[in-house]
Amino acid sequence: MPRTTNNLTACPECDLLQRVPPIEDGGMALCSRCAAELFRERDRSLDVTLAFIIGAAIAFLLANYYPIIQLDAKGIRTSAHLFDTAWALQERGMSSIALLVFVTVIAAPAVYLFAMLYLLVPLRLGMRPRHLHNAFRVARLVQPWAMIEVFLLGSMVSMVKLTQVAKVHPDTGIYCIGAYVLLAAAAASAFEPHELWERAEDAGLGLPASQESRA
Amino acid sequence: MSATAANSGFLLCDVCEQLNRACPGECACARCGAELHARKENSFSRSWAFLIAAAVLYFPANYLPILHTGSVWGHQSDTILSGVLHLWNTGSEPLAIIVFVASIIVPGAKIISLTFLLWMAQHRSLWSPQQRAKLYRATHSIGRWSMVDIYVGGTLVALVHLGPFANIEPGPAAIPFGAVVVLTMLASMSFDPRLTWDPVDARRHG
Repeated sequence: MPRTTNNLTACPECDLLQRVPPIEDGGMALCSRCAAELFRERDRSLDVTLAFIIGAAIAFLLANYYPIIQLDAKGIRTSAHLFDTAWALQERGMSSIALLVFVTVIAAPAVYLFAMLYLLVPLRLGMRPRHLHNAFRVARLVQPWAMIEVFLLGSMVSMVKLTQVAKVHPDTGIYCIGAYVLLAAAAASAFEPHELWERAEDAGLGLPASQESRA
Repeated sequence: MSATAANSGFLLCDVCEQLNRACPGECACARCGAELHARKENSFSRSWAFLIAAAVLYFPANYLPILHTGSVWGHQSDTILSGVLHLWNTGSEPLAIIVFVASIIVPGAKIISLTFLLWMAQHRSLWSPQQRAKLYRATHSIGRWSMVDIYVGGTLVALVHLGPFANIEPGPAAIPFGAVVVLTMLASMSFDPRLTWDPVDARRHG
């Protein structure tokens, strides 16, 4: 079995060795000691994930293209794009916080989406992406730093704060952010990494370079 | 008797969760090629370092103003707490509660709970590892929501630049506040939850 050694696995959170029984589709195996999630069984996990990732990528591009909020204060109109929320902080001399906002709402989601597309599109076409291992590590590394769902809450709080002094209109961009949040969450819950390795190994191409030379 | 990967000669890959047989010296995962470790490297010292830095910065983050609002009618500086009170007094009670919990309670609770988890694991406590495992999972997953106040500030600053009528500027608390969020996330990522279980397994095995 590619996923374990004789169905034997260890819990990533408490290290208990255990045998994983066959799981029915849609089910999951929890650690028998600490109840951490061990495996999920999802039919066509990679295809479903890819579909959601493509949708999320389109929503993300549109979220960056359209303004997110418009403000109308007695005839003076301003509007802000996603990028402006980082750039405005940079202009006020808060480079470190500007960088934090840029990384968490633009760079990390972009890198995550790119890495997932790089992994899933070739596998869908029966090819193995050349840098499969690195792309998987990059996706895992940046995922916790992509915090657009938190940004969505923050922008809603700021809109409520502004309604007392001006007319506030949510613009196209913020709906695209909402769509991205839903699609990215759906992709994350559909994604089962073990299927990625199985599919890469099915093609007979799963071994990393260091192991190939040793084998 | 609890057989664990560590005491049975196995190593679980941190990256792809493949179970590998332990080998002498450094070894790489047979499936993804990542370097294998029985536990996260220097988990205690890294987590403590991030956590102590976060605890120190928590004070200026709450004490200094996070937003300056200026207009022809005067200037106003808000700390995180006075911003929450302002929301509450203007009739947005639910939002006031959300911001209060995300910006003040969550970072504080995260610092306290990670201190507790690290202290217990380092002193090889046997007290309820199940409860501590749950606490770690909760701590790890809620931390990101503290960023909400940074985004409120960013959006307000980007929108409100109306010349003499109104301007919103970020205040000095933004930097320590952002640092607290990032540092507590790093502290939680550096902590290895298996350290909670190691003393339990050592006792049952010995």
